Amino acid sequence: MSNTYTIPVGPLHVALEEPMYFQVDVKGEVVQSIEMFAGHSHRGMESLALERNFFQNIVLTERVCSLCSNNHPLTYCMALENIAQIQVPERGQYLRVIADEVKRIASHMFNVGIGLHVIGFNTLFMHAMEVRETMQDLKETIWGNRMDISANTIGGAKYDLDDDLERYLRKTLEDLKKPVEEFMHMYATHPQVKARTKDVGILPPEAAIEYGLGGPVARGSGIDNDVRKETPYAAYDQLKFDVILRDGCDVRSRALVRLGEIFESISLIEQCLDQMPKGPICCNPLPDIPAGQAVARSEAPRGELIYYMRTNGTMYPERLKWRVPTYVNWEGLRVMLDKAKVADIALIVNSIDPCLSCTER
Amino acid sequence: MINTMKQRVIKLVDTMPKGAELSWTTDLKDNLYGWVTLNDVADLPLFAEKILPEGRLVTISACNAKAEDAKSFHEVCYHFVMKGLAVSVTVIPTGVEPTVPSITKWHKSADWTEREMAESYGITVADHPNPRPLFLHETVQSEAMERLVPLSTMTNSASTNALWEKIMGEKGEEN
Repeated sequence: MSNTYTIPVGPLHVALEEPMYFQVDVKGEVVQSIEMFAGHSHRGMESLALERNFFQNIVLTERVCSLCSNNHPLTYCMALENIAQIQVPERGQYLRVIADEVKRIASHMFNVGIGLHVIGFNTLFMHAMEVRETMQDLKETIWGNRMDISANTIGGAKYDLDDDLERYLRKTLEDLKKPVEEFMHMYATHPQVKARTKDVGILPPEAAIEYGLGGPVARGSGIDNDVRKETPYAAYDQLKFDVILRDGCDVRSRALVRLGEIFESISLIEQCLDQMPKGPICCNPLPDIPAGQAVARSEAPRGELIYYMRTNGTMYPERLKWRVPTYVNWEGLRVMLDKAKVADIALIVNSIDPCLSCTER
Repeated sequence: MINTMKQRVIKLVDTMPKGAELSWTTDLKDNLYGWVTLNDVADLPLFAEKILPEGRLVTISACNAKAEDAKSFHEVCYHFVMKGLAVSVTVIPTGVEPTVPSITKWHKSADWTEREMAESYGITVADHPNPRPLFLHETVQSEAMERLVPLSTMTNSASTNALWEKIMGEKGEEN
């Protein structure tokens, strides 16, 4: 008689933000293998995109995902700008970076916070959400919305910062530094957090390369893959920042990469405010969009986001395809969950910062 | 680094048995993009194998070619990234049932995207190690991106002739 059992995890599970079904084979408390079944939130968005004109698709792509909602319209616009050779004004490029980095801080705090909730450390989880709330208030004040901020348009940015907003943004970032420093110190040194996250969900760098994984998941295994450095876009080529790498290859390393990136994001926004010139925020008038094809890549909070667009001279795309970072990171779970404890499954899944609405579109 | 990768692509294209076309574009930040069209889809596994270890598959875009000079109803574009250099390789599926060879053997990241292409466009992926549907339930027909589904079917709606006549009557029109 076999002593291996199959247990279902999901599709609706308290620790999963979105629906995914894992069929987990276990021997005692140890995971032997997994199979994943997706498709619970498939919306056919790539097909919808072909029925919408170029401007309507800015709205559609912003709704692919809430946490990295800024990167989708940004990368979509970049693909279109590549086809039509549209020059984004310098101020517009800096404004794009500011919006992107604010979203990155909020997204990373959310993921690390949920990880703490999963291990039952609810006071620190609440602390993470409190810090994140600062960024939510910031988004609401500057862009009028807590998630979909509509910061991008074809040829530039859709918002501008006046002196009052700039002062408010600087003060909010200044006020954020100490809480995030304290939070990171506590995450890195607290024995309970360490006991639950260190050496859990191991992803060797060779496996990260073999599976083509991206973002903080790969950077937590020492893989230097940040698109902002590799293929600069917006104003990133004018700004100084480090790619945060860790070599622990575990849940803890992936969280510490995200927390480290928050400090880089704060620095990037401050540099933008210091360097951003006055002037137009958007290319106007826009040229006609010719027939052509282009690829655009950006670094979303979860990693590399790529858009491929093909146009045919009309106002509608002939093909719009995007691949989100989580799409490739799922398969990495086969490695991370191998020989893991059943009690760590939800924690390890959370460590890839999974997004189903992105994956399935 | 980008120039080294560019030379690798040029050499790789030269080794394709049935030949290939290669062109380059840049964006406004001078990032380089390579565009390869393979003359024969049978050369795809060789390209996928030889682009390693620097090249990794990012995604695959199948599309319905609508241009008047298009050679086929379907085109499939494989997007690789080599240390920052994006290279897109276009092939035309062959056969009565449009078919492309699987490259999952060399690029594990091809697994999901090949399965998604099969269920969305009805393109057969030959020798895929795990060919079950990715997102759509097995009872859903494949080629989801190809079919026109009337709104009344999608919403499972129906109306009687009496209701239709009543509406048209109120509008003062004959049915």
